[in-house]
Amino acid sequence: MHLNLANARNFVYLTVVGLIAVWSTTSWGLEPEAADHFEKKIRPALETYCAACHDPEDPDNHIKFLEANTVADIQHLRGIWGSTAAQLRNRTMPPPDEDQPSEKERLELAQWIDDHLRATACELGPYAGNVTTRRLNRLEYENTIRDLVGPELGYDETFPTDGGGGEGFNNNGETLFLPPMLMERYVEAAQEILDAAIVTPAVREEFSGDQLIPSSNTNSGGARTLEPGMQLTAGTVIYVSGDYELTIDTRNPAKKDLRLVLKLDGLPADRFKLNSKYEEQSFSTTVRLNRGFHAIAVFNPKEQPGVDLLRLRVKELGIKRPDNAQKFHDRIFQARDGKYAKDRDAATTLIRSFATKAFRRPVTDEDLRPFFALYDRGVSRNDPYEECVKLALKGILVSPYFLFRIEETPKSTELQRISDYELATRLSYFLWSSMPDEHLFELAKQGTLHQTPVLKAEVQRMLQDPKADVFFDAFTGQWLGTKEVGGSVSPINGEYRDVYSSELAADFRAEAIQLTTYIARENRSVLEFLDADYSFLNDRLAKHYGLPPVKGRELRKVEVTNGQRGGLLGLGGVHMVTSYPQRSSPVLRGAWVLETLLGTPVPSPPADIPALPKKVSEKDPKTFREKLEKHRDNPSCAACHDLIDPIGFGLDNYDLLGRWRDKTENGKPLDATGVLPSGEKFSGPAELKKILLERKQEFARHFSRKVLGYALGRSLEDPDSCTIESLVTALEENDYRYQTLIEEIAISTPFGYRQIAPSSADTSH
Amino acid sequence: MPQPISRRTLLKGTGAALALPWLESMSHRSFGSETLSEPPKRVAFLFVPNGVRGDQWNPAKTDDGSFELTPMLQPLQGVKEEITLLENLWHKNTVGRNGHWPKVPAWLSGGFVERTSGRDINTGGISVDQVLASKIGDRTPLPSLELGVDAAYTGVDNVGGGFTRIYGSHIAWRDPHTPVPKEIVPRLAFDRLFRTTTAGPVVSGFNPNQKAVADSLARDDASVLDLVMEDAKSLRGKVGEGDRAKLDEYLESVRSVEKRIESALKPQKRWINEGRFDLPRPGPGIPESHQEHVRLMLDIMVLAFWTDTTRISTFMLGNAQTGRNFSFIDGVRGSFHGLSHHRNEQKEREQYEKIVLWHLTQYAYLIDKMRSLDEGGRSLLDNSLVMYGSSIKDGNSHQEKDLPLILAGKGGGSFKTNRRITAPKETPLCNMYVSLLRHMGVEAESFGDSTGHLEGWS
Repeated sequence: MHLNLANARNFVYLTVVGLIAVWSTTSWGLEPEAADHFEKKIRPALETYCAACHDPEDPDNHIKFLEANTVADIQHLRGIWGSTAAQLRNRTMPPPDEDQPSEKERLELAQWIDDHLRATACELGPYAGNVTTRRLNRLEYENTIRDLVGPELGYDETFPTDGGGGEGFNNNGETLFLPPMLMERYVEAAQEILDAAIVTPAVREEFSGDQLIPSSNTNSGGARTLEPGMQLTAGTVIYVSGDYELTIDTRNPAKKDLRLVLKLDGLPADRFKLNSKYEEQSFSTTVRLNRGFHAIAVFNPKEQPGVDLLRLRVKELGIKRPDNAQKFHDRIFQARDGKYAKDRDAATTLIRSFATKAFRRPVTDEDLRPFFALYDRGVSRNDPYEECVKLALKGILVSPYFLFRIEETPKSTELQRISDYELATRLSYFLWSSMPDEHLFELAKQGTLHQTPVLKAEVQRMLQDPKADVFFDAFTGQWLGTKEVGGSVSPINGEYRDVYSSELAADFRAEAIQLTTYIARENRSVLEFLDADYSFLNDRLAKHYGLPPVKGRELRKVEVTNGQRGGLLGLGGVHMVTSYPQRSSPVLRGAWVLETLLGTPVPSPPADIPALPKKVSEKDPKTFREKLEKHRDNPSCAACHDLIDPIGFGLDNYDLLGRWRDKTENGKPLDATGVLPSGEKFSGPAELKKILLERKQEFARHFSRKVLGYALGRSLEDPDSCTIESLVTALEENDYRYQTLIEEIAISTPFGYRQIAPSSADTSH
Repeated sequence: MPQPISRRTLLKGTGAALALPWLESMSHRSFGSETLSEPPKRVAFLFVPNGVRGDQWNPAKTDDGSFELTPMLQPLQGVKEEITLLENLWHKNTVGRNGHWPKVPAWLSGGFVERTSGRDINTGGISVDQVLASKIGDRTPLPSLELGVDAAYTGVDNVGGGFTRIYGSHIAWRDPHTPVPKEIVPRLAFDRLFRTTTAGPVVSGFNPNQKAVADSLARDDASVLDLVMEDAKSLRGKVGEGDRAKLDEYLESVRSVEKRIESALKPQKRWINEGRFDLPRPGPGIPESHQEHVRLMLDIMVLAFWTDTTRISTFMLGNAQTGRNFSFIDGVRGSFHGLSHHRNEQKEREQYEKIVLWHLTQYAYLIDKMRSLDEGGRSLLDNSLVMYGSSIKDGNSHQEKDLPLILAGKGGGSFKTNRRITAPKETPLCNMYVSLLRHMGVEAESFGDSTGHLEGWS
């Protein structure tokens, strides 16, 4: 959508197109109506109120819902029609200075559109869409390495941040890039990981004097005389970067005070002083050596007599490995009682098994060819067996088949079931952000995973597995925005030192995650996100919220009955996300509820508008609310703010850190009442929650959409509305139980099928 | 606090030590590489988010190209003779829509940035630093170095009109669809300068036909990448269009890493500076003090130039619309973006100004640092062009015209400083990029929406 908007007012009217963003209250039912109801009634009415600006023939108009001349045309403009209904209901359109439909007419039009969209959601037939090949994001990479190799080296923190897109998550294939900088890190990480998990036999090398370079013809019985100005060098191969001890044994026939220089790869690394008192002396120094070939040289400066070099020794001092390294090692090498064969047959079995898991599917000989070539490269230079294997595994860890989740390419626009291995992979990255485990692989091998009962049972098993914690964490933090709490969302420095701490921020994040975890694992209704009568608290949070004391740092479920907590709207993290660093913001809060809970897109404010004070002075006679309401006298502001602000004021009892308050900044009693454009009145969060509960269909739809977007890792499109509506129906029919949603997604068409997305699918914006 | 490490420790970890310039034995001969006879030209772009105080930026009109520092330019007092003010340049493609997001990728490209939640990212152009990197980047171990202080944003700004926040997190774009991420952790950025390959160096004086050298582990990574690249190529032939783009990205990245390994084995014709550059390897994590963080990252950029590890760098002093809290500055209480919308209320505007001035102070620090480093009779600064600026003139109103832009350095000696280049109103900033590209030895007829080169450049 290209919009070049010079005019600030237009900006307000710009619709941000969601899929179906409705604000409807009644359930949908199809009354008998004339076949040409749209052509005869609906479209003409909309033309009356909208065509002045949204004339489909006008090249400057980009909001082209009126391009639909027949009811069938709507199907290809679903997104914009959904937005049209939302604008009508929210009274953000038509603009205040234009002719308005009557309230009745307005609601009828919106209802007709909503009903029509829902009724026709599946008219185009089931839709799978096409998922772009997804690179593992940094969290998935870290977890996959943990499950595949063993070590946990923190790449979920140290790799570059993955951007997010699509439905707003950082597992979205379209926005997961692979720049050279990341490729460098992958190569480096592969080495680090394998060094940490494979215990290569420690280096202990000894060179006698006559093994040093340049070589000498004279047989000197091991020792070599280092003449003045001469240098003798040993070449050594270091496989694992780490600390090594270099030792030289010398004899000083001249019995003088002398000095020798130890050079490492041409650079002086240490100087040794030979004491005239001793005939033989040994010197050691510790150096950090990288993997590779190193030249260790002893140099005798010119102006002194010769020194005999007896031996040069290289000894591994210490390689930093995790405590479990030996366990990882034994698992990779399929060791029994610590013993394993070290031949090509053993390597073949091992590499095949590793690649099968790493690529998350059975592998062919052709697939393995490059990795055997790497193994052979090691063998050809007599590397230790472990190192030969390591090189092959390194190849696997930087292979596109590992770094990307590669699926078979769809052949046609017809739906085609994905393989059970692909399904296992989709499922495990959805719920575990990691590779499938043995059990999933086994079901895939048997070819039974796609059977609905099997699939549902797996969803149950996986949700209860501790590995699913990562899903609750990643999804919740990104959905609610609470991931940023304590990071980019922090109160002004210093000001709140006595109440705010990074520990409190961590509790806020955990509180949100615990709520999701509980609703999911206990299979509660997702509506409890809106109206739970419990919270997850520890001592610190209970104190912060002014609730009866809770013992200990561990968050636990606590009943809350004072109407101040419970559900998302009671979360301190949410209150922080919807505040500025120095004050809470009704506008941010209203917009957050609309967008995050109901999926109603809120247009951006125009540039150059008078903003509001950052902080309300205690001396100011006007409350913040009074100032904000003044602002809404301007009709072009009012269109959106009449919708946004009342909701925000309903949450005004929470300050920027989520504490409850009854008074405003300047000491006046707090007014948490609001009237929605529909005329609904409420006061305070408890009543606002009730109104939101009446919108449960919108919440269920938006929540389904979010989870589906996360599960698929792609942007949702108009034809996905069929799946979304069926998820909403399933929730409605099953008391809104959380696990129903996850099961239904797992068995849904887009999750289990692929197709070349038909071109008609390309109508979303 | 970064842990200082002794020179001795560095010596012992030869892998990292080799690239460091002050080692006594670091002479080009011992490594069989060639050095340049003239120091190379370097280019850096420093992006500052949220604009400046536009009405107090431009100096009073003059006829001879001279200027007096305005209140907003005061931090540059000590380095005035090193800078050139650029006036009346803009990107017309960035007008309207959203105040921040689409203006960031366009800053160095002039492209029309498509509104998208991430599905069809399109910035309408390649950033000028990446054009340079693709043309002359192969002369150094790193084609370009991207640095910053804020982690890339995730998610979509629905409130701000449905732009993916990826736009606001990157000024460097390899192609219209692919941002080049920046490093924000000092230690990782530092290590990146000295990461050649996982293997140690091959030193002259050894017979290269010796088996241990020929089969050296140093070439392992190259072999690994060769093999997986073959795989990726055959895979590419089998997949659909969208996936092909992803594999192309993979292939290109693999190639670029391979190139880096190869060039580490076969050193490039680089400039080797004599003298010391004291910058200990930074400690892990991000310094708590924002100023320390910024300066450390700037130091790393200077080190990268000084060691000729790269000649092209970008630096984001913040992501678009950064809400970073600047209350560490005396008299400031609030976030940068918040205060940038001061609505001309004095109390807030004053705080905004302080943040704007603070950023210019960091620029002055960089200029001064580069000026203090001698290379071949001139300073590192003399051999560089360091652009500083924002993608909006004014943080309060998101004004797109007459962007606040400053150049520092003489670009190898021929570029005149201590002057202003006042272009005719609404001259494409891309005209300046055309001149810049040519200055760097890249033939450029046009760039972005340029209408020619920048009059008055030389």
